[in-house]
Order: sequence, then structure tokens, then C-alpha cells
Amino acid sequence: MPKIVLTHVTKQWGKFIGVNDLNLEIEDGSFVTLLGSSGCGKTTTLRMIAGLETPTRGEIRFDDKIVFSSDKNINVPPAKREVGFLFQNYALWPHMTVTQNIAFGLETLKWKKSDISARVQEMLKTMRIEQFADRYPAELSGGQQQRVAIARTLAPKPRVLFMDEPLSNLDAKLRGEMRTELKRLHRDTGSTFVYVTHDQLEAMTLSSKICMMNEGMLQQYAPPLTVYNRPANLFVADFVGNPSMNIIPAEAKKTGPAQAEISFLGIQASFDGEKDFELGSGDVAIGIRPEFLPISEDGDIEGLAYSTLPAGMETTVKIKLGDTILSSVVFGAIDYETDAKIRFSVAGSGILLFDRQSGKNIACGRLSVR
Amino acid sequence: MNKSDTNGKKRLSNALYAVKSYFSVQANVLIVIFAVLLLVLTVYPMYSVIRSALTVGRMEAMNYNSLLHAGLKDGDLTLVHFRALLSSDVRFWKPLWNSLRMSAYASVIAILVGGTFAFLITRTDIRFKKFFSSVFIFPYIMPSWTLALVWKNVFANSRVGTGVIGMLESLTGLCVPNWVVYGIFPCALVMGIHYAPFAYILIGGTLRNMDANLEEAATILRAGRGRILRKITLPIVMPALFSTVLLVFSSTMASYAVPVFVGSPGNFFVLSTQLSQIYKASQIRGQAYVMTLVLILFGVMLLGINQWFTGKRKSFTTVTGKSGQVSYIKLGKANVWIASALAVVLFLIAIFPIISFALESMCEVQGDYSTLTLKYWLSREDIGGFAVNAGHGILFNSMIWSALWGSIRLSLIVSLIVGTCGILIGYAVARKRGTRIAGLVSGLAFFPYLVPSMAFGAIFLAVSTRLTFLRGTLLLLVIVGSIKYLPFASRSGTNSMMQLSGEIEEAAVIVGASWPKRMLRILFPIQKSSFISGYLLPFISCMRELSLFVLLTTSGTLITTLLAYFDEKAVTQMSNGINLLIVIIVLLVNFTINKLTGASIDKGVGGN
Amino acid sequence: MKKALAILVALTLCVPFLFASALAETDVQKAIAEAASMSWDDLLAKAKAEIGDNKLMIYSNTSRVKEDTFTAKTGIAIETQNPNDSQIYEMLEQEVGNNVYGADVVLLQDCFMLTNLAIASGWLENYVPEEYKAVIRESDQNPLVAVYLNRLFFYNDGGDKKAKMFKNVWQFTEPDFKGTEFKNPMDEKSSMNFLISLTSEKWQAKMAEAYKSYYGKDWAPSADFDNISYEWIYKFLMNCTFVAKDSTIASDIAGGAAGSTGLFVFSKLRSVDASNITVCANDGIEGFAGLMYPIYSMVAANAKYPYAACLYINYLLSEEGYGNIFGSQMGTYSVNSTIGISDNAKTYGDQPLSFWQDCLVFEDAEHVQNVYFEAFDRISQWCASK
Repeated sequence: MPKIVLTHVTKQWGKFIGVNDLNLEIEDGSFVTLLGSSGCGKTTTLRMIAGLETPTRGEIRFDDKIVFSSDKNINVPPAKREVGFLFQNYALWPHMTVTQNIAFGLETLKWKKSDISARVQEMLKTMRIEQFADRYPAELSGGQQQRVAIARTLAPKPRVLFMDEPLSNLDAKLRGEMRTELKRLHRDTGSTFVYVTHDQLEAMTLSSKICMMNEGMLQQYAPPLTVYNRPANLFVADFVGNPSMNIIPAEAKKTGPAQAEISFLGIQASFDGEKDFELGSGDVAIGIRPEFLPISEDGDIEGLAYSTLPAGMETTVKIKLGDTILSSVVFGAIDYETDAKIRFSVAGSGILLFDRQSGKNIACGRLSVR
Repeated sequence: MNKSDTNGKKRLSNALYAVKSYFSVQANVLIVIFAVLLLVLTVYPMYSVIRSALTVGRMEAMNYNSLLHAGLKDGDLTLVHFRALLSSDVRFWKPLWNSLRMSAYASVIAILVGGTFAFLITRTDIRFKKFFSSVFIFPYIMPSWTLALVWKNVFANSRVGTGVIGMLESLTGLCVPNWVVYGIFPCALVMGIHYAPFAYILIGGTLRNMDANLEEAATILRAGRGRILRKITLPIVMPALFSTVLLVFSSTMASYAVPVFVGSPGNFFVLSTQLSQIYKASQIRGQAYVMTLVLILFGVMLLGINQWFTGKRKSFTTVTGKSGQVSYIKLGKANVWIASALAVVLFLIAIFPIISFALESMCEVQGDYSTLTLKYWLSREDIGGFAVNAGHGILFNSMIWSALWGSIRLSLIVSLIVGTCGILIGYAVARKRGTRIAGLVSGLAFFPYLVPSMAFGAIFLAVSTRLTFLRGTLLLLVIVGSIKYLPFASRSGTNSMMQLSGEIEEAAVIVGASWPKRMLRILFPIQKSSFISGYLLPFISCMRELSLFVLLTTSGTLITTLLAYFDEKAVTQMSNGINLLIVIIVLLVNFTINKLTGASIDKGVGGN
Repeated sequence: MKKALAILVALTLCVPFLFASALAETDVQKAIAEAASMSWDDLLAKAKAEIGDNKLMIYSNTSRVKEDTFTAKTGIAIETQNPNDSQIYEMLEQEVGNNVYGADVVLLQDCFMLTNLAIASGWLENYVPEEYKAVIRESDQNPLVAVYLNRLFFYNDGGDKKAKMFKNVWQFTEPDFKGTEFKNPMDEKSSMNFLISLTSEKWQAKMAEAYKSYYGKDWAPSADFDNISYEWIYKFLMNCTFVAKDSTIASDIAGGAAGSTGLFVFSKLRSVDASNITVCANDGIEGFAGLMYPIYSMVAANAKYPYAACLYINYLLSEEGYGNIFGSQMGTYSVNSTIGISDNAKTYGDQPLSFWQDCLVFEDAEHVQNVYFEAFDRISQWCASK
């Protein structure tokens, strides 16, 4: 199983830059998600690694083998990269039965007939689609088509499996099921999975590492929890997490090593960083995950219950503070009357400080309201 | 020094690599090959046209010297053709305006008729779909003037022309005014109906492949039928509409027979008839080439609009490999009525002409059905009387059979070449969509369409006097036919390739299927029906082409040249019979291909 | 090796020249001069020796020429191509003009283009067999006319053979008789040359006579027309209906209302129910009753088989050949004055060439030559401005 390394990969169409100087290392056997909104370059990146798209500049290696290099004039065709690709629309061949669809790739690889039928049977079984073996794609439901597509992709035992928003055409329940199965499949096959999605929940739950992209630029490349807890910048902070992180403009003044005075929304507070930090202009934004705004009667801050969204297991409470709406998540079901006065605090050691100019994360620490 | 040397080497190897990697993609190889081939095959005819428009020949010089005291010599370079033509209102501007109007109306009619029909077939539960959709293409299979004749036969009345009483008047006593029988109205309508199958094939193809969910989604958003049509269906079939307009408009601009039959008697003259008349007059022929340039110019403009549209990456991808649920609009009680109305219309435009061919081929005296005889079909002796040298009856006439075989052979070869090239061009253009070279190739592939057949034949006559090994050979006819009909096939190839999403092929690339394998096992089977229509269209057109070949071959070689012979001899029974034969053969071929491959011109659109 | 190749290439390049010189004009001219005085049998022997099993190639604007009685008689196979007039000139220009063999015999019309384009460019040679010189009018010999065809005014008499509806050619210019069906002169060279021929002084005089008889006053020049024929032409063109084919005109009149008129080739009468059709000529129409135009037969200047070509022309001029090719049809007249019209034609009321001499406008090569460009230009503008 290979490690995939991208160095300075850039894709340009005329003046438009799709992917900008991307450096990325995909560990062997990992499950890496390319996350971002549409048009951020994630699909392009995936297609470049698979060989379906030719980068304008840069180098791509599978282990030590260079599969693409603009300097060395190397471009290994996709078939020789031994990868699998699961397309968003499945791209099942409508004129072939399920069996034929799965067997096609094996035939091109010149497998023996008996091996092919064995492998097809195995895949049908793994994906639990045995009963559809002789049907045509048009006769299958979306979920069934998805399974066929996966079976077809996995049949030749690719070293790496690329998936381009494979679940986006499924209903929520099916998507949940398929997520579970994909994670299982990743374990069972031991292959490297590279997965493109715009759904942060999918990325969070599935991947071993998330590669967060925006406008062709890599934003952060880290395990999901790191991306969640220590987002590299405001963009990542805002994109990941549901409900989104509360981001509040604030003024900060350094008061000592790893310490600062912060004023926001008419509130004065002191900030204790995990470690020392540079403040720059002092024009900052505070990032507080909703779970770090616990509601209690003895809370430090008073606001109005703007809206309450109980979901059973937890409740999202939208709190109006001045002109700003903050989100708070509380375990269990509570229902506040609209515009009732409620009190809440800022808790925990995971409060983030961002530089508002650059958007970069400056520090992480505690915030004590005075 | 050393460094720059290695730099140079580096640059060279980079360039070599760039070339090599460019050509490692089949679509690139194809597009370059076709770009070069088409450039050669269009640059020469274009050069000939421009040269003829800018120089004077012997007769032209004499003419202008006599009329304008121009002082020209044979071979002089001059703008005199342009000046003479563009200053003439009656010879140029008026017919040009007429042509534009006629073509615009014809396009609208083709789209309305063909589009409505396509909608009925692909989106509703109307009865007898299979039958309707195979009959609907008859008007295209038959030469356009047959419909013009039918029109005249039906609507002529005692107040029009010489007062021959047509079917409508004899049945109902109704007399339609002159403008219904002759002039722009029948011209546009006949051309529109003749090309409506184009609209049906192109629009129907898209509609059928279009996910009905797209429309249903809008229904759920409470959009009314009209709004759905305007906002959802129309934009999606827009590329097909554009292709239809492009084909119908340029075909109508260049059409000759119909305006002559039902236009001229109403004093409605168009550019193509003026072009042909001026072309026949050696002393002003250069002006005909100026007109040809104008026709080409309009074609190029339309093409430009079309390209600008395709160039925008508004997705044409309607086949995703994920199938949509097809749900038909229930016509309910109206079904019977709509189906009957359709049946009547189809009978008139598609079946009636065939019957009238058959009857006319059996009338001893034209139009007099009391003189029916089978002798023009069955006589094993020379048909005597005035039909001198007509030979035996059609079925036993060796001239006819050998000419028929000649036509079939030529049409088969041409359609094989053209259809295959069309698919390859379609593939290359679809894969390179949006690039300049793809625009160039699809534009060039359309170019032969814009050069009138007459001029095209003349250009290749000139080619064959330089390359004498081509003279009088089948090869020459094959080359000319292939170039002339490439536009059909390349459009249909491009359209069907555009509908295939790239992922369908990429899914096979990933597993290492070679390019031929991808073409043969994936792309071709999926779009089989529309590809095969890419083979059928040139076949049909080639079977009934005359003006393209008449200069290049002897009169017994092709069925159409022989037809012209019988026509000129006024053995109308024989010429009607031969026409019937051509129509039947084309229908048979269509039918056979349908049985063998399950595809046919109409089927790609949802006839079953 | 290289040398051998070079020689080979040089030789290959020379081959066309060898052929070219073998086919040079002088040889064809020589053959024509020789053939003119040969007897049929001598010429046949010479032609057969020359052509062997090859085919004699004929370009003809009339399809009637395609037949095999010639082959049956001589054993020489023929092949025909039937382009229209302008196409024939185009083929001659491309082929003879580039000295590429195309045709041996060419049958074509349009006196003006023949003289000024084809003969002046040296594409065609004239051939008149000695034995027929005495029976062909001098004016039909250079260039040689093979056959005359006519186009006549017909009308639907509504079943009354004595209707005599058209007594004067000026009637066709009157609004009451609007819609005379006519082949567009721009499409039909014989129509064009007919109108041009009509502008000659001879016809101006006849037209003036007819005018006076019809309107009861002398014609006077006006600002628009200084030539009476042009006035007729203009008014006729504005009054007529252009129809594409002779056979259509014939059936339109046969099935039309009484009084509908048209100008079409006589021979088309046979394909329609002619019971209600009257030929204006038979009613003794004043002015003229139609037109007559020649089809010329020429030898291509680069003919491959000039003797066989001459033989074919001999055959065309002979009673047997004319009879086989054109004979039974009405409306065709051999230039060989010893050949009359067929019995078949007589049943349709056809008359010998001499009858038509006075009542039809013959293509007038001399007059056409003088006024062609200007007349063509005027008439073509009128045709387009209807």
C-alpha cells in the first residue's frame, strides 16, 4: 500500500487557478477527506491524483514512484496507477448488467475467467447485491446503484480508492448506512481511501485526516478532532462543526506572557493562553464552540432566548446578545420561551483567538468573564 | 555556454514531452488529424470560391466590357462581381431578404412541428408511438420537392394559376387564396415539414435522455406547464434547438427545388434560385460565387452563435449513467383525438406522397386514373410509343438496376466513412469541448454544408482535371459525397457524445480499458441508436443526391442521374416509379437496420 | 539505383505529354477533314479500328441521345452524360481547357455561348459530312445543327376546338390573360435566346404589324421602350408565371380552366390528356406562335476517338439515325431537309420545319451575337423584379 505525496501541485485553466501550490502527504492506509465547498478544488485534486486530470505544475508520487512530474516530464496514465475511482453519479454503464459492470475491469486486466466470476461473486456478496446480478442499472434504486458502483470499483483490488462525493445522491438514512459501511470497508480492505465531500459531518466521522480546502488553497490538513478543536483559521473554524462556531469580533490587549485583556459585546474578560502568543494589532475574533457556552442560572452573562431548537438528544439554543446571535448546545431537551432572559457562561479551555486581519488562529485557552 | 546548452536541451526535451503527452490522449490525436484533414478539404474549395468571385473569365470580361466598359481581360483580378451584384436590388437584396425570411420561418416551423412531435412521443402516453415515429421521418427521406408537389395537388384551385382543381376544392369546394398555394408560405411550410424530422431526432434525443425528475422537480415547485417548458425543458433542449436551427436554416437557405416549384409561380424568388440562375449564365457566373460567399457567411455566423453557446460549459451532459424514472404525461381522453389528428397529418405528409408516386407511375396519361397500367413496371419489352429508349419496365430494366446498385454501393461506402468519421469527430470535439481546436474542427466539419452542391460538384470537377487518376472513378464520388455529408454525421456524433458524461468513459479509463475498447464496448453501445442514425442520414441523402454528382459521373451510374434522364425525356411514369423505388429502398434499409441492430433513425428517440 | 529511379520518374512524367501530343487539336481536325468525305463504311471501319472495345463518350443536354441503336448498327458502344447546358460548358472548360479527355461528341444548345465560349476557346470542332452538305441549309452548317426543337403557345380550349381564343400574341401581355406559364429565361437558355432574338428588326416589324392589328393603332416608341419587342417582352414577363418544368406546364394547362395558357415543348403534349389543348399556331395567331431552337452537334477538340465521333454525327444526320433517336416524337425536326416528320407526330398536329419557319421565333445567332449582353442584362433584371 502506497503513500501518496503531492508537492507544489498546481492546476490552472487559463488565468483561473483551480488548485494552488498544494503540498499533501497521504499516509498509507489512511482515510483522507478532501473537504470544502463546491469549486474549492477538491475534486480537481482528486482527479489529478487519479490521473484523470493533468496538473499544470508539480509532482505526485505514489511511494517512491513518481506518477506525475512537470519537471521530469512524467505522466503515468490512470490505469497504471492501480487506483479505483467511485464517481459522484456512479457512471454505471447502462448497457451492461450488474455482473458485466463489475467484471469489465477484471476482463481488461486479463484475469482468468474463473477468477473473474469468483471475484464478482465475492463483490456481490460483500455489497449484498447478489439478487441484482443480472439486472441493468436502470432497474436499480439509487442505493443499489451505489453498491454496484462500489463493487465495480473495488473488484480489481485497487491500491487506492478515490471517491468523489459518492453519497451525495442518496437519502439521509441510506447515506448514514453507507457511511458506516464505507468505514468498515476501509478497515476490511486496508486500502488508502481518498474521499471528496462538502459535508463536514461526513468528513468528521469517516476520515483519519481531513484536508480542508478553499479557493484552491490548502487550509488545514489534520485529523478531524484537531480540525475541530484547533482550526487553523477562521474559514476552517466556521466550516467545521454544526451548529457553527460562534465567532465574535473583539479587542485584545496583551497583559502578560500568554495573557490578554479582551473586550467583546460590551463584556470585559481575561484570556489565559495555553502558551505565549503574539497579538499583532489586537483586532481579534474569539471563536467559541457552542458546547463551550453552557446555560445555567448562575451564568456570567445575560442574554435573550432568541430561538430554541430541541433535537432530542441535545438542544441548540440561539441566544441574542445585543445585536449578535450566539449558539449554545445543551445536553438533553430544554425549551425556553422565546425572548426569555437566560444566563450563560464561557467555559472550558478550548476558546480560540483569531487574528481578524489574517484570519489565522493565534491562541487557544480559557476566557474568564469579569 | 554550457548552461544555456543544457537549458536548450531541457527546453527541447520539455517540448518533445509536451508533444508526446499531448498525443498520448486519443482525443487529441483525433482532433489534430481531423483539423488538418478538414482544413485541406475546406481550404481548397474555399479558395476556389473566392478566386472565382474575384476574377473574371473570358465571358465575364466580355460582358462587363460591353455593359460597363470595364476594360477587363480574361483572368483579371477585380471586384466587379461584387459591385454588380451588391448594387442590384432585384438580383441580390430582395432575394436575400426573402431567403432569410423563408429560412427563419422554416426553422420555427420545423422546431414547432418536430419539437411538439418529440414531446408527444417522449413525454406522453400517446398511442401508436412506434408507428408514428417511424412514419414521421418519411418527409425527410423523400426529396423535399415531393411535398411541394403534394401541396400543390391538394391546394391548387380554380382561382389560382391555370385553375387546375386540387383535392381540397374537389372534395369541399373550398378555394384557398393564391398565397397559400404559391409564395413564401408554402415554401417555408414545406421546408419546415421536410426538416421537422431533424428537430424530432435532435430534440427527441435530448428529451429522452433527459431525466424526467428535472421537470418533476419543477412541478413540485408549483411551476405551471408553460413555465416548466420555458424554464426547464427549453433550456435543456436548447443545444438541440440550436443544432436544429443551424441545420434547417442553412439547408433552407440553400434549398433550390422547393422555391422553384411553389415559390416562383407566386413570384417569390430567393437567393438560391437566383444563385443557380446566375450560375448558369457564364458571363456573370462570378456573381453566383459572391452569393455562395454570402451563404457561407450566414452559415458561419449561425455556426458562431452555436459555438458560442456550446463553448459555455452549460452542461449538455444528460446521460449520467444514473437512470431517471420516466413518467409519461397522461393524455387521457384527448389521447384518441390527438392520435387521430396526428395520423391524418402524417398520412398527408408521409404516406400520401408515396401513394401518389405509385399511382403516377401507373397512369398512362398523367393524373388520369382511368388509364392505369402496370406496363411501366412490368413490361419485358421496350416501352414503346413516345417513351423512346426508355428500355423495359422498371422491374426488368437493366439500366435501372445497375444504376440502383451504383447508388446503393456509393451510399453505403459514403455512409460508412462519414458515419465513422462523425463519431470520431464527435468524440474528439466532446472531449476537447471549449478548446479552440474543437471549435475549429466542428466548424470546419460543418463547412461543406454551406457550399451549394452545384458549386461543390464544380469544384471537384476541377480537382479531378488536375488529379486525373480520380476522374470518373467511384473514389471521386466517394470523396465528394463523404465531404458533403460529413456535417450530418459530425453533428449527430457530437450531439450524442456531448450527452455522455465524461465519467462514463473515465470509469473505464481507471480500470485500464484501451481506447478502442472504450469506444467499442462502452461509448458506442450506449449511444448506439444515435450513432447509427449518423450512418443512416448520409445514406439517405446520398441515395437521392443529384446536383452534387451530375458533373462527375455518367448518366447510367447512379439512380438519380438516371432519374434526371427519364425526367428530361418526360417519361413521368418511369421517373415517378424510380422515385418510389428510392423511397422504398431507403425505408427498407431503415427497417433492416432496425431489425438487425435494434436501432433506426427514429428509434434513438423513443419510438418504443 | 537513384539514376534508374530518376529516369523512371522522368519517363512517367513524359507519358502524359506523349498522349497529349497524340491528342493534339490538329489530329482531331485532321480526322474531321478526312471523315467528312469518307463513305459510311470506310468511316465505320476507321472508327472501329480506332475505338476498339472502348466507349464513345457523349455529353448531351438532351437525354434522348442515350440509345443503343447506334451500337446495334455499328458495334461501337456509347456512354452518355446528361448535364445541363451551363454544366456542359463548365465541363468543357475544365476538361478540354486542361487537355484532359472527357467527351468525344458534344450535343448542346445556346448559339451565343457555343460561338463565343466553346468555339472561340477552341474546345469544340465543327464537322459536316460532305454527303449532307447539300441537304442542310448553309446557316445550319457552321456550327452544325443536329436537330431543331420547338416550344409553342398552347391553351386550354375548354373542349371547343374552334374557340380561337388567341388571335394575337399581344393578348399574352394583357391583364385578362395573366398567368401564361413559361420557363424562366434565366433557367432555360432557349427561352432567353428566344426573347433576345425577338428584338431583331425583322421581328420588330412583325410585332408592329400584330400590334396594329390588335390595338388598331400604330405602335409608338416611349421613354421606356424604343423597341416594340422589348415592350412585349417586359409586359409578357410581368404577366406570365414562371414554372419550372415543361411537363408541369403541360399538365397545368391540360387540367386547368378554359383560357389558361402556356409555352412548352411540343413533345410533352403526349404525357397529358391533350383533348382540351389547342396549339395557337393552328389558329393562325398573329405575331408568332412560339419559338424554335437548335441543338448543335460538335466534336470535342481533344476527342480520343474523333472518327467514331464523326461517325456518330453522320448517324444523327441520317434518316435511320434521326428516326431512331428523335423520329417518333413531335416537336423535333432534323436539319436534313430530306427527313420529314413522323406519322406519330402528325397525329398530334405537327408540321414540317418549313411550316414553322414563319410563325416561330427561331434562335437568331447573328442578332443574338450583336446584342447579347445588353439584352440579357435587361431581361434578367425584369425576370428578377417580378
